[in-house]
Amino acid sequence: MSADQKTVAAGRERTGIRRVFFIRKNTDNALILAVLLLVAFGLMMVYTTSYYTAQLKIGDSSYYLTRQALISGGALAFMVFLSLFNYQWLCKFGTWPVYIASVVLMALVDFTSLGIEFNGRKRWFGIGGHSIFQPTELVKLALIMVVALLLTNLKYKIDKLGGVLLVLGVTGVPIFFVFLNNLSSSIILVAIVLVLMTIASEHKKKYLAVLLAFLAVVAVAYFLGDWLVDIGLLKRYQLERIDVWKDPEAYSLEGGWQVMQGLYAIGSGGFFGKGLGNSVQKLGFVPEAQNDMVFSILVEELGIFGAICLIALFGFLIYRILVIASNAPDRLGFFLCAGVAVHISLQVVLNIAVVTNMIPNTGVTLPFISYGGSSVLFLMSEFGLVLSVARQSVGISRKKRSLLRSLFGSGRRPETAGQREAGQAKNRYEQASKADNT
Amino acid sequence: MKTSQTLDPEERRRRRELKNKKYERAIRSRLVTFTVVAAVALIALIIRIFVINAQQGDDYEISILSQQDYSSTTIYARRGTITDRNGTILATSERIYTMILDPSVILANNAKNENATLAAVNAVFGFDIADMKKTIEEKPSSAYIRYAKQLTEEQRASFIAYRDEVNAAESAKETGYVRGVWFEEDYKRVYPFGTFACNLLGFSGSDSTRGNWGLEEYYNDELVGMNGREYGYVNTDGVAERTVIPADDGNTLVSTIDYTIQAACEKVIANFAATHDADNIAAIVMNPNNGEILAEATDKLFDLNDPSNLTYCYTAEEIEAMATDEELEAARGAMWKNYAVADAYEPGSTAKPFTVAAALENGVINEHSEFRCTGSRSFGSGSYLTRVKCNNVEGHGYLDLTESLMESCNVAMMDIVAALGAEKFAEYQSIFGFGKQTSVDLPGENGGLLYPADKMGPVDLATNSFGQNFTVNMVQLASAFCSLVNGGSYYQPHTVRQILSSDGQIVRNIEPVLVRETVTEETSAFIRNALFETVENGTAKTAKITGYSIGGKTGTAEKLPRSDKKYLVSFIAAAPIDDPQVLIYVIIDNPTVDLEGGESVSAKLAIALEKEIMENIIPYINLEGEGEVVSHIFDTPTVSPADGEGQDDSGNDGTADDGTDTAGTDGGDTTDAADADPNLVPAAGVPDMGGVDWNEIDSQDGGNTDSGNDDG
Repeated sequence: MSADQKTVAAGRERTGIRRVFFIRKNTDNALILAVLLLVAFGLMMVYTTSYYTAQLKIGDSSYYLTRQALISGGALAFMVFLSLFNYQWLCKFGTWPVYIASVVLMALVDFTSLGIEFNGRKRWFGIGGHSIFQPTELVKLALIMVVALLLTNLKYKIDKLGGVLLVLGVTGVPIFFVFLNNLSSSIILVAIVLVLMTIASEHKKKYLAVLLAFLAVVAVAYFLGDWLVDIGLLKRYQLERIDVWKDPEAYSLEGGWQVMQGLYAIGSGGFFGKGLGNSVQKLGFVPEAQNDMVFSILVEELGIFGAICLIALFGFLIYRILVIASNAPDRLGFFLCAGVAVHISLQVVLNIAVVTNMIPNTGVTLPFISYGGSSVLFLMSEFGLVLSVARQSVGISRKKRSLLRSLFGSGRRPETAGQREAGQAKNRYEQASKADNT
Repeated sequence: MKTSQTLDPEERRRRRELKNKKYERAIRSRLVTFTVVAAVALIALIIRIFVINAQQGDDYEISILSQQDYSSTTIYARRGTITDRNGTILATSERIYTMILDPSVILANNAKNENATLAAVNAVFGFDIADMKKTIEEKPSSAYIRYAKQLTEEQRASFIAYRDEVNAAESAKETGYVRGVWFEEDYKRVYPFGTFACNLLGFSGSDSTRGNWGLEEYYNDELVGMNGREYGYVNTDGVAERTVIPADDGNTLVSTIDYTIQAACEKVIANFAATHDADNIAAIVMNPNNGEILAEATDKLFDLNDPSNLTYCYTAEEIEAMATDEELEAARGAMWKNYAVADAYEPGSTAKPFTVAAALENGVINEHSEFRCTGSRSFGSGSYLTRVKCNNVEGHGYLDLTESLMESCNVAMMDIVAALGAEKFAEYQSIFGFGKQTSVDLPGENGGLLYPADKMGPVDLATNSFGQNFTVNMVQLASAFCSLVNGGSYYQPHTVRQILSSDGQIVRNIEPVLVRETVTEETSAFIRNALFETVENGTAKTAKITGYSIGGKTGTAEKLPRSDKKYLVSFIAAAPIDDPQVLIYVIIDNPTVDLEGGESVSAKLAIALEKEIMENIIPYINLEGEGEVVSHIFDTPTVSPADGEGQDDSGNDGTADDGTDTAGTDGGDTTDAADADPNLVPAAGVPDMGGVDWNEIDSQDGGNTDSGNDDG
């Protein structure tokens, strides 16, 4: 540990309060700006999609907006608070408690009466009938932290069987609990873990093969499902979502109606949409439009243009995380950022793919935009960690940043004497390797 | 590994560092690769959105439009109110509510809301929970089930209060919220007095846009208003919008009917009908000076709130016997029609004053002409000989013109028209408005049948002279009679004096329409005197009410076929006769009488009815004058009209009491009728009249005040 730390943290040993807090005014404003824009975009979409049904069923048109705004505000504050901490200290002491908490909460939701059923899905944790939050979202945070920590500590052992089994074993427990009540979230979790392992491993081809096989299974699930029905292992109704995906109009009762309504919304938007607030489909046709299907209403109201804007905003967000990851002072910081980037991009891609009926309905929410307090809170926690990593970026020089560079620049400093020396060392090493081979 | 062993520690550290660096660069590039893949996926999704829009955009837009529910909700207009001349509400529309259950909302969240909602409905309305549960769970995705109709405003208000209380309570979080119960507004036609003025008012049933019979039908366009709408539509940008067009409530009719007078007429008719059978009994009261119909009553009653109910007019056996729908329809039609305008009949001797007036106008006779009645006149000769008898077959002997009316001598009339000639007679029939509709504002008027002058033989002319062989309706005869006694002005009869908007603004005043001048003032004065003498000393002596100057003419018409010896008896009277303020016309069609009890079918039956009505309304309308009427009538000016001379008023105590009560309460208070609130609903029974807007009577309240005090 100490040798690595010396390398990546520029040899500075921190003691006392600086171990806990790392207060340097090296804030990634571009990332914060992107997050704020997405939160504002999300609140706008939550209100426009929910006010009609909220007025109808609750009698308060801003019911969802108010709740989401309060939670978002709190979560933003929590994100800033978390970013002031030294992520290394946070991960060292926080990972395992968070991990254990997520496993315990998932188990409670799955197996005890503390799990609250809503819309037929027992996904909420609550006390006395009041749902508090979805532990699934906490599991996402916990797994990102755990995998990042394990990959950092295992180093090259990740390519050994023991290391692989350790990672799979540790992550497998919460993923299994999630799988019990929420298949789609468990697929995302598996994908996050596998992608992170692929990135970390030198045997990337093996992992790539596993990842592709995983995707292939998901992709051929439809044919596989038919085959399983044929041999009597599965019942037809268990494949509803796949049938719906294949032909939403024919399976309208099983959920195809909702899918078609979402497609109608997207198809009727045109390039600039019907204008904010003017969706017809949210008036009862797209059910719970503020949840998974929010993107379809977005396209209906803001058009392809609005969709491109939102996707570009997500793209910029991921790009910014990538920059921070690249400049992370250590592998822990890198893997944390990588985990967040993978998480966000998977959810965005899968959600939009579902809404456009590219893949079967999986019930994935669109980060920041879909209504949901737990999702926002733990997303913000993830971004708190990312911002904490950004504070310790090795390459970013505050003095030389222009606005443009702060948005798009890699922030790398010009090569220092040390780096030059390292480059010469690398050349020597490569020559030596060649010599060995010959 | 062999090489590394040979290297010095410094070199090994460098190599490890280099390896780390290389590894870190590798993982960074792999992360970039992943995000590039994700970016490609996002671009693919954007392309997919483009493709959806380009390929199916139009189809989907049509799908969206076609699944929009454009069915708009009607906001019902309130049908206008009908009031009497003083604002007493005779017909109105009460707001009622239809309860809509919305299962899609009730069942939306969980069973808690459903239970709470159904429990609330049960608590307020008492509907069975199990039945409601079954209803909504049969159609869980429906949003519109009309569950209960005709709920009152109070019921709705109490439900809303109950609902708000439940939803506001903290415990609602556990026990569920009341949701998904809506109310739709509608109106129900209500007639506060049931059968009151039923033939005149007509009715409007479940379809509030349609009136049947009477004012409801004639003034339907005024009453119906315009329904409003709340509707959704999709504008040119494909955006759904909702628009509300508010309902335009119907206008209020202020009719010329006076509640008290109408009530008196109905009571008198009901009393008579209780002891006598007759095909029809009808009375009409008019103001002779402007054509306003103050009351119009028949014995064919029905409940306006339940117009199909035949029991008011038919016995249970009769209803039982009506086997077919056609028979039922016919029975209802007979009950609903307004005898006073819908039926034409031979008027009999009440037509004689018209004959005399026509002859006076043409100068073929004068006030001093004398006639000799021998009991009959003969026309033609030989086998064509026709003898037309007088009512007194013994003959009246020598009569002057006034006496010919007093004694109702047919022979004198035949002599008069013989001098007048058919052409002039027909011309005057036309001037008096016979044979054509009066344009009274009531539906289904029967204009009657006349002989045209060129087809009128001597016998036809002779019988026409005393009111046989041509037909009139009641309004026609009463209106013409008004002109005869008021100095010759024929006003169009009407039953509505004012139309108000729903918020009480005057839309239109219906002014009296002077149609034409029928006779001169001299002729009118002569007729008035003759009518007065008829009551004082002639055939209508029983109509006399001591202290009041009444002039009238009886009528006893033989009905067709003559051989049946069926009669239609009638009496028409005006008071005070020198300046008539009220005209009452009563007919009794084919009465059956208690012959052994000394009764006979004669105009006295009609006179008795007229007298009772007159006695009841005299104190109410301040019918008195000082110094302008013949003095001997006012020997006892303060006598209570109801108690009168004790003559001929057995069996009408109740009616008389009504009359005197009204006088006692309201006598002398004639000033504020014009300000009466048209929306004022009377508490019960006889409404608070607040006096009468009696335009033409304004100088005669001294005597009445005395009368009222005595009564009280």
